[in-house]
Amino acid sequence: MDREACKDETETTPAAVPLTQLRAGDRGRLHATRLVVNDREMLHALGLAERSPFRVCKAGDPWILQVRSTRIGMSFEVAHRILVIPDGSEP
Amino acid sequence: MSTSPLPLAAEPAHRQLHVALAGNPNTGKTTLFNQLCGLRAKTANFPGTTTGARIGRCSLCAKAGTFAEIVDLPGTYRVHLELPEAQINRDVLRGEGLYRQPDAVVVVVDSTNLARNLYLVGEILASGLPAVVALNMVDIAQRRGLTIDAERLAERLGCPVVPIVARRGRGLRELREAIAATLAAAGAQPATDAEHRLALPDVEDFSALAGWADRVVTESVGGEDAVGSAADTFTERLDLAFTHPLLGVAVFGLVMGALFLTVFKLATVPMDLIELTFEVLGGWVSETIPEGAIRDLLADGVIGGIAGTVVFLPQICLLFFLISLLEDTGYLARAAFVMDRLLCRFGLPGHAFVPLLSSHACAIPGILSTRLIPDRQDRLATILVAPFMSCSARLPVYVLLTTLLLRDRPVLAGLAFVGCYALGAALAFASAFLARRTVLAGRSRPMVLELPSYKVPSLRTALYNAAHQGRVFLEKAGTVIVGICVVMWWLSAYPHAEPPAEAVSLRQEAATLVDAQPQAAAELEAQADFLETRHAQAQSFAGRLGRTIQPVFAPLGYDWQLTVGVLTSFLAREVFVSTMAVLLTGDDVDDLEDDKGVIAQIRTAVRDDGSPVFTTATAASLLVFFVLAMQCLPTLAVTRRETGSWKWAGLQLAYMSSVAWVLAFVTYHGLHLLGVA
Repeated sequence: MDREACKDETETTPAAVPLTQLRAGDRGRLHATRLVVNDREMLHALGLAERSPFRVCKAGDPWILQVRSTRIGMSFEVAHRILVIPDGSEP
Repeated sequence: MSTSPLPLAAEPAHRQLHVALAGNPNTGKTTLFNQLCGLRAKTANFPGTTTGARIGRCSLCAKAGTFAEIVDLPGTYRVHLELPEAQINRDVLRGEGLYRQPDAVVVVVDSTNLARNLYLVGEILASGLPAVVALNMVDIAQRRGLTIDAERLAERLGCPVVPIVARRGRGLRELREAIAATLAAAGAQPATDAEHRLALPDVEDFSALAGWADRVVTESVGGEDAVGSAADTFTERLDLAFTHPLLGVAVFGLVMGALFLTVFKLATVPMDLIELTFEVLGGWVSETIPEGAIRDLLADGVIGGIAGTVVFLPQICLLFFLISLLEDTGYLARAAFVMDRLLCRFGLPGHAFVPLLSSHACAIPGILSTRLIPDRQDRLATILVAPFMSCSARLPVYVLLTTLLLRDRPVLAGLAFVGCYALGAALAFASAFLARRTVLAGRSRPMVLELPSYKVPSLRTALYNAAHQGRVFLEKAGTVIVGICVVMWWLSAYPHAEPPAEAVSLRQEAATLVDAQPQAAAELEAQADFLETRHAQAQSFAGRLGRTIQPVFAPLGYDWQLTVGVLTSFLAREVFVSTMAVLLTGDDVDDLEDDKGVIAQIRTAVRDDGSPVFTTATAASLLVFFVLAMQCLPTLAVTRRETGSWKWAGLQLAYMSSVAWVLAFVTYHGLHLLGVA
């Protein structure tokens, strides 16, 4: 993964956790990603951008998120590079 | 690779109207294209790519006789993505390079997922091209309680919006009329209510574009779940099962097993019919045309070559028909994740499983089905290793060699069979691992996929796709394959050699016995045929080539006869068996199981120095060679076509041949060292 391409997105807030820490049924908002530009833009195009609300439909490889009407599947490698703020945990 | 531009019609006399069909993946874009253009669509490559484009002619207004050329663009979520399909969309919309800018764009959107689909609509509207939005799947949206006000949506977007159900052909007349009206406005959008249009933001600013899309949806869509965030219990349960680490693998095994069993079983009937038809045709040509080179060329070279191409067609069409059905259900996206866990360890994506499994039937449809793989590096890696999978053409060779190696030990012969399949698969994965660290350095792209809604598949779309893929195969790969077959036939058949003296003398003897002892005369004639055929093979260009390059195969234990067998099997692997039968026994064989006598003769055949042709070490070495070698010129032709370059086909040939030679050498000398000669 090209970390240089997204160095500016690695800043975290105390409430941000990797997506892989959420369980099925949890809801949250995207905070930042540590993905290469192409993968990040693909997530955006699928509707998952910064501050987008989502619901975890399935935890575990693959992770399945619902962002509005779109169901997005992603491998562990992608999911653990996505930082999210779970609902109810905003500072 | 074809680098010719999309075949745009000449402009001067009657300027051909040119419409691009764009949309997100899974929006029913190809279904709409099929409905608008039918089977008359032709194919071309987008310039500089191996991405196939479908181009069709669509009647816009039957009374006025207005037609437009429709180009089906690859599905993309946005045109600003750094992906090949987005680049093609960008180039076509801008009319850059070899493209002509379209006169209008039809954007197909999924009504059940409007906000996300509007990102692409916004980008296309920002390009300034006249656009028509085809609001597809409105029936599903209605069932989900969504009420889309198409008129208000058109006002907000500033372009015509036509609700359609492409699968059922609903709304197509209105869509045609809207396209015609847009084109008639000569580059300007038809009058829309500019007062109500929402101003487009900077479409390269994703946040602004998303905000605009949300506002358009909020103002034109009603219903309890307008933003579509409600849980769909049915979909979630299926997803949990299909992507489960154990259950998902079991379901996948069942689905794929059923798919390939169907392909194997159902394709046999048309394949047999095709072979029979060409056999009859060849026989008719042989009887009709006077003896000579032209008759041989037509009957054996051309008809044989065409038969060798067309015979693959049932497998290819059936495979793509079934894959299209599966893809349409939404299951394949889930299956890709199941296999991704295993294949990513070798640098291959989950999508590679279908092509690799298909290659067990035949590498040609396997390689063609790599079109499912979105990333080019991943696709190249899969194409390079797919021919390692044991295809059905290897079966006759495996039968012959395992029978020679393990006669009267059927259990061990069965295990050897399984070993052949396992060896091929192991080398495929090891080679993918190696390729992703050398020529295709990098890891397989981590998977992020949209999981489309589950749907009842469309038979019509599957039939169109199967017909399309079959035609692409015949047009692009088939022509090369026929050419190769003709050349290989010529090398094996020419120059004609005079019959050897021994054969002449046997025929003379048979002539004297024909009345008194007809059976003995027939046996002598058969012996004479054997000697003549063997002599002709030895004197042919292929035979001479076999003798010339025999030193290359000598370290593997092969004499010139086995070398000729290896050479002629480049035409197709199964040719090895018939070549061996002709060279060593003088008979041809169709079914080894029913021809134990021929196998016995092959087993006891001798070399020029009197030693046996097949020893245990030689047969084992040959078996390893055939499991691993790239002994299939038609597959090479397809690799060239799909990768767009002879470079990859050449690399595939050189690499697989080298691996096969080295491991056959190790097998031969290893067995010698163990005292098994």
